Amino acid sequence: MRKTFITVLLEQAKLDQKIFLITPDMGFSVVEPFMQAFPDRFLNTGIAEQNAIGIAAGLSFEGFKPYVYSMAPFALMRSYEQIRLDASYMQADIKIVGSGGGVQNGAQGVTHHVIEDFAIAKVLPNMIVCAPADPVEARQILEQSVNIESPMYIRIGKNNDPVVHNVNDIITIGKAFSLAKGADLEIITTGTITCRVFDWLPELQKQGVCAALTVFPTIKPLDKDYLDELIKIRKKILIVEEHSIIGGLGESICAYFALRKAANDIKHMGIPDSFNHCVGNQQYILENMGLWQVPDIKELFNGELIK
Amino acid sequence: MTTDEFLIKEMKREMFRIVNRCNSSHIGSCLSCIDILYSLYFKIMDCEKIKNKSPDRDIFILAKGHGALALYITLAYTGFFPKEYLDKYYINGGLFHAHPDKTKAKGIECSTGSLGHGASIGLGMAIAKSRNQNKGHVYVLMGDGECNEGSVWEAVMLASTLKQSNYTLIVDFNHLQGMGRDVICQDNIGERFKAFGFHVKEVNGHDIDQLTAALQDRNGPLAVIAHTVKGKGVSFTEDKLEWHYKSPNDEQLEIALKELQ
Repeated sequence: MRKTFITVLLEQAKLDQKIFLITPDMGFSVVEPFMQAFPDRFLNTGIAEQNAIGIAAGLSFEGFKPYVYSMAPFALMRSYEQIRLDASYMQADIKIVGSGGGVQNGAQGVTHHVIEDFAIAKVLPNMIVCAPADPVEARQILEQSVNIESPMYIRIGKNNDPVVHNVNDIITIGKAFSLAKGADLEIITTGTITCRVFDWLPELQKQGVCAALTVFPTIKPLDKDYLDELIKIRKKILIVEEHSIIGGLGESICAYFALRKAANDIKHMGIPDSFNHCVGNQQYILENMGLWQVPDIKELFNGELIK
Repeated sequence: MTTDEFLIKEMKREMFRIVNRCNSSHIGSCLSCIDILYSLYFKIMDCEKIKNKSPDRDIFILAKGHGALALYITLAYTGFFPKEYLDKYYINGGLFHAHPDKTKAKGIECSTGSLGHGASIGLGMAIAKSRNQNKGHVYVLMGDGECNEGSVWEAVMLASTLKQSNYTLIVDFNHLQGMGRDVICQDNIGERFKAFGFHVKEVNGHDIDQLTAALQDRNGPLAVIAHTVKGKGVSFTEDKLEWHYKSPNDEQLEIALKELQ
């Protein structure tokens, strides 16, 4: 998805003279093509995330459309107050693109994981929050972002991310997308874990569960129209996200359902409220947290039969 | 008395009346930096270009946002908005916060209040000017306490790397910050900027001629260390930390107004 990011940004930069790429010294073997093609619209601020965001805001006030690229935890957290004030408060048109969201950085350890980004990004006024599931989503979200005059956080994957969409699928910022139909259960996901959850579907069939899978490429604003449909038909719902169980997409949806007095039975799978000390790659860590294996749906829904 | 002195005293009296009326703080900070603001807006920058938002305009950012009243006064006295706007400072349903909000009036280039943001934002605007080949210079006014913030030095090291000639940082060096005097020793702050690759000018921050001469230099990156006295101009506020927080009562106001005649 990093390659998708830089490819799309290059394409867009050819069309739009205002696109500017800033990196706090991150993106080796990713950002170089942009650096070479548009040296006048590229800036490496050095390892200084606060400065990177402040500079991006300043550039946007003078008409540029800056994209700040870094590893997700550093892009968002080291510079959080700059994002709150320089970007959100002043409605700077800057896009923060964080790579390696969730626990994709595996054995690099907790410093390089980000399981809190949806929470701290979505709580900021004016902020749009997206987490593409695969390169197909990433491409369209990035293309659309160019013409959305708003601060935005985009959590992307790394390299060789699996593809879950058909190339022709149309993704729209703010809208959910149905990847598979199924009457018994609606699984809702966001971000790259969607690809893994997609693989659950045939296994769930074996459990006798015909599950739909819907992806939310946008965490904020929430696609309430889609949720309203689910409320109407009182469908059972399972939300799966590679984010803390606190503050992510699941919490947004549950809060909305509670306010709407929805009767849906909802379960939520996410990263427990603790730091991960186990060493291993993304899959290993997710297995350790029970987010990789196909869940036993009957057990999850307290023995209640789905049908 | 020169015209400059006359006007500055009038602006100071007006600020005193306002903080007394609104029971608001930061009069010490405003008195510390009003001469710097006066020099920029009355002597250095082309205010018409700023009013028209010209891409070639000079840009001023009040990084030490708690000096906002000094900025509002200066903008009012240079015709950015009617002086009546000042009546809407720090009151319920008013217009101006104690820290600048750029949506509130013409001339406020940047919303500030948390320290250590202005240097980076200003650098971004200076870089935009260079990349767009626009004219104009970017001035950022920081407090000396603000220079405790690490983010300031992130901006400084990059500005010198980029040889950002259209960028000037001004330090309102009054030695007083949140809890006291020289909490962080910065006696050699000029040398620090030099070591980071800046040109440095040290001036009396209450001398309009010295300030104007230094601020005319547009061969940055430049740090103007303005040696100032917090609460300057009134006997009981000068060099007193408490006037970062306190508001003058009616009796104190009367004394101040007399001293500022």
